Amino acid sequence: MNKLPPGPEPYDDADERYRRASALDPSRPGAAVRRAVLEHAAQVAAARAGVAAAAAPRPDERGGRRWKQRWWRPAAFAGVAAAALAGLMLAPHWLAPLAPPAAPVERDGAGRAPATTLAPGAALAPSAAVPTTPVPPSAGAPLFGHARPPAVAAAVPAAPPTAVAPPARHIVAAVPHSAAEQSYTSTGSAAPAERAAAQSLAAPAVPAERTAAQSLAGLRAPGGGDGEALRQAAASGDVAQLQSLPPGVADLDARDARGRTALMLATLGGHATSVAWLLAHGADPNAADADGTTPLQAAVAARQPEIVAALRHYGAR
Amino acid sequence: MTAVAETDEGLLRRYVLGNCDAFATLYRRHELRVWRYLERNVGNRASAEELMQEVWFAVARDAARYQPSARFTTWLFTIARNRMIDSLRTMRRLSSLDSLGYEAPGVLPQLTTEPGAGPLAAVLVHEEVAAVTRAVGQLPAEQRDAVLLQLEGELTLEEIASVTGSNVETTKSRLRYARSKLRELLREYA
Repeated sequence: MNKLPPGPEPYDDADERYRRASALDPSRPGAAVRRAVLEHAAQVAAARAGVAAAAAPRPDERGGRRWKQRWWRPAAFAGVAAAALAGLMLAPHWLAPLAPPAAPVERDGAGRAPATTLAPGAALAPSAAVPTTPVPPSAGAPLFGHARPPAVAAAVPAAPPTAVAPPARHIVAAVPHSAAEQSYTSTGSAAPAERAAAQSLAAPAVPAERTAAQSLAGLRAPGGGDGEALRQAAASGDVAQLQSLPPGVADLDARDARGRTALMLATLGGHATSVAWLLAHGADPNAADADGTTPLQAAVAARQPEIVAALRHYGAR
Repeated sequence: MTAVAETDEGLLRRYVLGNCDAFATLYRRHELRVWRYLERNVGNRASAEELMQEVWFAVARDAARYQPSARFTTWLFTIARNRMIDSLRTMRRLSSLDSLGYEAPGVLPQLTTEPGAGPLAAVLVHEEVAAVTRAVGQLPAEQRDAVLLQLEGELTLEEIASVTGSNVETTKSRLRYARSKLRELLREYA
């Protein structure tokens, strides 16, 4: 038979004796234990405080972060805007055809241009009739003409076609620039092509790459010859067309009105494959345009590292 | 007008917020009770000191996780008991507190009595403390554990049951048997 547990005795003499003995018991943990415990507690508290401080930034830090968030955005926008402005300033310098990039103007013995020329604006305004009178070249190249600041445009020397002594391989501008500058304000009596050009002046600025490609439209003149076709293919990055050109017929270094070769146009268009093809087929890597800009300089300015590498590989300076 | 002592829970909360003095107060307040619970359970001063350190390290480390739903003393003695069982299991690879046995205390620490009490009083204190220590040491482990949790930890029946993982009736029974045995042993030592 199981022994029944003793009855409840909440506080008896045993408890009292135990408590009295415990009060007299001198046994204690060593001082080293107490020291170690308190030191450990302090370390834990310090670590906890460090973690809390790291997790919760101080008010001035939060303010600093907000300040940083505030300041870098305008700075970034300002940087982008400055780069865009610089591009707009530089792109016309390198890319804008001051003269219509139409077909070479046949000159008579006196150096006078024929009465009928291709309207440069026809490339942008197909419905415009071909004028019977010379059209200001800048009006025919509105994509860059509008990007040029008026002060810069006015600073461009306006020389009659006969006053320009074209380089042997350059196509000469046929119409003085001053006529184009006049067309900016005299839209009332302007020819349809001039009006189209004037309307295009009011159009918003377009990216440099696009304008570079579109500017080539001005080069598309009927009967442009192999040099023209070559430049068109290079400017559009059409390697297949480059390869289809009859070998030996086209001059790889033939230039347009601004003195730009097919290599320069391919560089400006950012067409690395066309650049490589032209270089591989003997294009002059140092052929500068009328302003003295080399393809390497244009590639560096356009931040085209692949083209830069290719040009340097072929000895560009 | 007497100042009201800050509660254990308040002291622990202040320690979590970085006040180390609060932890020191807490330690001083419960040092001897935890010490006697450990020393009288394991019967070995060196092991008790090691456990004492581990217990209070755990209190400091886990203070932020303490939930005030339970009394601080319940939480403290739960830590102490778990550490003790883990330590003894590791040392002896035993799973039951009953099978852990008890190391009879060796030489009692040098007694200190009130100044001027004389050598006879010191001897009497020594004998009394030795009798109680021996009586507690002779209790079965689970009864000893329960009675020490009640006498040193001042835990209620429900709290002891919660700490030991048993039900209230079992705890009540252990306490009755323990107290009866203790009374019998102390009578023998008297």
